Amino acid sequence: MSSAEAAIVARDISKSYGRTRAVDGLDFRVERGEVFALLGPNGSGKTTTIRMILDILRPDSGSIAVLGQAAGASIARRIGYLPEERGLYRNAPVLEVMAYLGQLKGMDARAARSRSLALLERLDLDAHAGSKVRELSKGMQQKVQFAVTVLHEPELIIVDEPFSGLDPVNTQVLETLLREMRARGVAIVMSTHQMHQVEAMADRLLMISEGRQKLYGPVADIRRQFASHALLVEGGGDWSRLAGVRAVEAGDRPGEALLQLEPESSPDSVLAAIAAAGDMHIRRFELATPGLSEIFIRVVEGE
Amino acid sequence: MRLVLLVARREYLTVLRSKGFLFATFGVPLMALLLVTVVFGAIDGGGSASYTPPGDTGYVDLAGVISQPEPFRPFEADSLARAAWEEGQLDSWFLIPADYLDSGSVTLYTRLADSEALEDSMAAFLRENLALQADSRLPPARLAQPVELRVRASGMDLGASDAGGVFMVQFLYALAFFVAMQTTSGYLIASLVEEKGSRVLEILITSISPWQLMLGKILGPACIGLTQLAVWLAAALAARAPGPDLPVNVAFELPPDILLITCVYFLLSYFLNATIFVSIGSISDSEQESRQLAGGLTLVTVVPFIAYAVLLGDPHGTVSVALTLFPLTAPLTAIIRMGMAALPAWQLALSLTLLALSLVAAVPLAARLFRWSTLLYGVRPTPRRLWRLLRHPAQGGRGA
Repeated sequence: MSSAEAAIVARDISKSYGRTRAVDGLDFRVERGEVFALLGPNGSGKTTTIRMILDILRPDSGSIAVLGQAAGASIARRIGYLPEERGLYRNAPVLEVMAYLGQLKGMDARAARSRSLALLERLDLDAHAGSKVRELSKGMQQKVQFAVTVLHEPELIIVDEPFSGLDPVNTQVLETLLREMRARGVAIVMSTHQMHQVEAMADRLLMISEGRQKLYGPVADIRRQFASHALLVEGGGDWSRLAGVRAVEAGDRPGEALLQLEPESSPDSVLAAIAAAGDMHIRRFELATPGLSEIFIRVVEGE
Repeated sequence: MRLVLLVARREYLTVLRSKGFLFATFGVPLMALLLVTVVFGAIDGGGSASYTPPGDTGYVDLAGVISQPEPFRPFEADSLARAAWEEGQLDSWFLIPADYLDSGSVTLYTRLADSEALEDSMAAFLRENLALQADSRLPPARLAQPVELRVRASGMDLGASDAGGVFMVQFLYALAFFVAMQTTSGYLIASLVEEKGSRVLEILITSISPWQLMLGKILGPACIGLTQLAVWLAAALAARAPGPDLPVNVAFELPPDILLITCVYFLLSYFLNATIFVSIGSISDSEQESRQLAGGLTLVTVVPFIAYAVLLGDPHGTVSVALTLFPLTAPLTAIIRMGMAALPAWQLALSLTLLALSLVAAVPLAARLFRWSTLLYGVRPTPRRLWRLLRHPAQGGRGA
């Protein structure tokens, strides 16, 4: 895939503030139609990276192309950005704020208003179009902020903690919207500390720490990469008698067990041993892979 | 440019709909009218006061209305009075023309820096003499308003002016500027603090460059300033005929040149101050801190009014010239000195040039501070940081 077709292509980008190196040699690309998670602990360089994507900051070295264009080109109208902290005029009516921010993204006044109303209806906020932003609950404000982000139908959206303050129902509404956009070919960069959201939605991820790239690739591959030499099984029997099993731990659910394998044994051989044993049965099995939260902690603590 | 105008329009409409703007714009002319009425009403009430003039003053009476010349010195012809004045025998002299009873016009020649006391004396002197005449030709209005004064001072560079009118310009300029600055600073700072605090700024700079955003933020309030100026000028024109019987006609007979210069000063200084307010809002942590700094700036701009006595006493002195040339105090000082006919053309030109240059220098500086504030939330702008920023601006993206 060429650079022109990718949503973001960053090559060896670095950025320093005085003597502090905020970003150090990041290399990544984000494809159109994928959810790309940007992960890292606080102060790891995520915001600086996002600002370089948004062309608010320029890298000290390296290059970054967004939507096929180098920095400096006018691509602001093709990008939507949802910051971690809400950015709305609190004392102005919802519809007025949305229409104004839409116009700043290049929409004409009428289109900005009609699209705002449509989005408010979709988000079940149409009754609040005339309310002042400060009169809305935190979750409602978050939905308005999201609506502002996608109002101008951007090709690339960058969302920082998009589900913050949302109840499960509204979280699902936003997830559905994001998935719809992904299906339409919109590239979505998601920065969040909610790892279950990343596992549920992200196709690929970039994890950075102290400005440096630690993990990069498809979420499934990374989880496999961190897979321990263990087998998660659900069934019955005395697992400790199995040849090649070093230790047995209880799983998270009833009837589930985590079989730690001997270094020289393989999952295939253990499964064959279970099948051969007359007094054991399994209903389900999988290679034990850690969750992203665990991987995150291992990567960060391994610094 | 479309985005700049969009920001300016929003800022403009937001202020326009605020109660503070409505009060400042329409309340100020009413307050000014009230104050003028009270002030000049008090002067009117003092009409029977002694009319001993300051300094030696002569007069030429071509209308034949003076029967009691004391304490002024009569001259038979204007050439004789002028000669005595030019030789230094007189500080001032005035000409009562033949058509005085109809026109009320009296021309005063003086080298006094402050002719107000003299004008009061002349008014009282003329009223007394008119009353003694009991002339059937005497128009009733003449006794109430004995003088339609024209002042011609020595060393004058700007020509004749209506003394009362020019004083009104000074007074109204100071009032208008102060109120406009308060409105602007209040709004600009509140707007910036809100946008920084609510992170709207972070959204805005993904759509518009900091430079465009700042320009829109300055243009919006500047249009507010223009609106206020238009309302106040309209109010001033509507108040051309003052209500009370005044000893000196202070109706607004403003020389067009002074009016034009006042408007130019107002706009240039308005832009300059708005630019400085943006800088203040950018480097401040809170609205309270911003307002304190803005209050200091506003105070500097009205220093000429505080130093009014110094300007009157020595209108060509070092302090007067310095305040005329210093951009923040230039507008008010220049207008006060124009009122005293003591502003040489070269100083006026230099003052306006310096003011314009300050604006040209301030805008990119403010843009740099503004941009910096959009990138570094929560970083305390210490003097060292600011200095480093101004010398070595961080490499940035759009609008850097």
